[in-house]
Amino acid sequence: MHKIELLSPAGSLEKIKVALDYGADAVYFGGRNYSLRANAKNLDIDEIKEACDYAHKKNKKVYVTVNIIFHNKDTEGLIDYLQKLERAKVDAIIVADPLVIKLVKENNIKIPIHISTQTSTANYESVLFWKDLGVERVVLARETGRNEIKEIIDKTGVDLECFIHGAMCSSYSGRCVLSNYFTKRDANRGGCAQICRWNFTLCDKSKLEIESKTKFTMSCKDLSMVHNINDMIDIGITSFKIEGRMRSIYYVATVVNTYRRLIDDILNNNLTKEKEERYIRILDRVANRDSISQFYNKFPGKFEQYYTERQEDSNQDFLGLVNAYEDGYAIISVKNYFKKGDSVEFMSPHYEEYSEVIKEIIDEEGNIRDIANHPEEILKIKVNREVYPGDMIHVKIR
Amino acid sequence: MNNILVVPKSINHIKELLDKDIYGFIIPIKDYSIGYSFYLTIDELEDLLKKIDNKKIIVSLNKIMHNSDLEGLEHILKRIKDLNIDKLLYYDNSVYNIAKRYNLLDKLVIYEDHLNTSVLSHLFYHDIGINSSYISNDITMNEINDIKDKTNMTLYMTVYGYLPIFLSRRYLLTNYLEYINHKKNDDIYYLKDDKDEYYPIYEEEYGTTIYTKKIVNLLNKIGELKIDYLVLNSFNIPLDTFNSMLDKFIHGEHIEEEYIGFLEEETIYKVKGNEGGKNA
Repeated sequence: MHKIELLSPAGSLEKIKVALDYGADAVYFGGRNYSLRANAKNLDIDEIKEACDYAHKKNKKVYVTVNIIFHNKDTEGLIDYLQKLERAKVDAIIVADPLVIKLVKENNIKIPIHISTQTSTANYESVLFWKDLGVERVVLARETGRNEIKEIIDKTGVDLECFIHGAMCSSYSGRCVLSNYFTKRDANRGGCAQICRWNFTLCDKSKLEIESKTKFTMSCKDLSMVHNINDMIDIGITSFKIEGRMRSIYYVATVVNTYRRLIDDILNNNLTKEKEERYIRILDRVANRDSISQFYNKFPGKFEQYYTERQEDSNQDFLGLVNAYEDGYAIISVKNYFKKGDSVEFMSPHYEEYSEVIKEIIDEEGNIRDIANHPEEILKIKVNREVYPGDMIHVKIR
Repeated sequence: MNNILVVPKSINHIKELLDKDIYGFIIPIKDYSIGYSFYLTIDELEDLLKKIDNKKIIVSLNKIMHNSDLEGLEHILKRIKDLNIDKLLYYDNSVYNIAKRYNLLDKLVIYEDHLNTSVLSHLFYHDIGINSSYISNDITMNEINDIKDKTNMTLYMTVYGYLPIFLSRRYLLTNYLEYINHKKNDDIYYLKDDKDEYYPIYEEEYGTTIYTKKIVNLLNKIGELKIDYLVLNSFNIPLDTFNSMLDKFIHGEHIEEEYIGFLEEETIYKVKGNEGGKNA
């Protein structure tokens, strides 16, 4: 059996640590420049070094995205940056513009290169093109179906990384500049304004409006491969990539933890129907949008798209983050409202999820409370077992 | 002005233009290109070539290829090797790989719409044997001229026509019209935004393309642009309108101010807040 890597997004140092602690084998993120999430916080070089140290101590990996499509002046400082990444010992860079390959070779920079989904690589000849250039891994286009992926693996032997969860572009990656032409924000340099989620009125070729209370949208549902992980392992995919560098720590922890357990159960032949159904419930709940397998098993149609106003419900399941454990009490930072008597669950990389009923809440002044209703307030809650810093409390998922 | 290439509306349109002072035509191949008004099979291309001896033919293979395309693609390239084709426009790296096997690299023009936007990326392609590039309309004149000066690649560019700004593998029109239970009567529609501007949207076998709301027209800027071949694309433009503008390009006439896209204006990507976003 080939090695399986669970690869998590992580847009900050905190998220990197959460992702790795909760079971990711590798994380990916952008630096302050050259990344397609230009308006995320991203990491400076010192933070990147710290991330690498943290990951490598756990025998895990760090990939940095250098995945913009460069204009001339964007390349200033790039060689210096790549050399800094090499010194920081990043395990690979994720690249969309082949000029990065050129610069890495010409400057003898020893960092493995992964090819981004932004290149929309969807066939084995294209994968071989990249292989001939010394690339170690290719992230395939999300439009590539199951049998296509298998054929690519069989004919190239190249490490393939496939998305398993998260938002999808409705366009071929790299072939959408709607943002550029609607808002002047450059989609291929990290400024995407997500025009694909806007509503439009559809008109016929004479520009007469087509009457409908449902507006036209290009928006598609998110990707979730939870039903297909077993098959993806069987056909030889090496890296399972979660999308979402701008997501919360709760989202990252929950999705990583769930897919970690699912993959491990599959590899150890421990997956039961009951467990699988619970994993699906957890993932459905933490996502605030509908998620399906898109192109993997069939060609997507209208059911794979959003037409009624895209529901982006704010997830309030995340109730608290454990800061410490002391004498039978979890000391937590409150994240969302909860009260005495509520049934909650503790999620941790250290133990299987378990349930508690909130029996006692005490604030920092020692007052007994019935409710927790101030975000970031520090409270103590009585627990039945030892818990650890970084453990998360959420609403009980039935 | 013998450096003009036309993307024609039809075979008849080609025939109409044979006496014009233009360099040639860009011809898309059925199942291997996308975003055109009509397509030819390789046999039809061969027939066309027998009828045209005074104009160059450039073939477009600009589709993103999937595994199922590769056998046919190899067959196309093998046939093209023996045809009098001037150049081959390509997007997907599979075309490069297969063309290399048939010693066709000198015919290739890298045509990536929105990628390949710098001197260094052009030098990358030059290093692997590509000497021509169809330059993106998303960059400025200064950037384009810089690329020409520092790479000496032969450059092609769309100087008149609607520009493709989005390509999806999905059937976005069919999906929506099915959802609202409305019959699909055509392949081309328009998306109207909240500013009452209209963007052409075109669905065909290999996906859905959205175009700019206006026709880009760089006629007044030709003297300043270091481009070797000027491409005029007739897609979705009425025939008379297109032919009239073609004549203006041929005669180097000046026109009233027109839409020039990003030729003199850069895009941004680091924004404060949600600048430019829907609810900004």
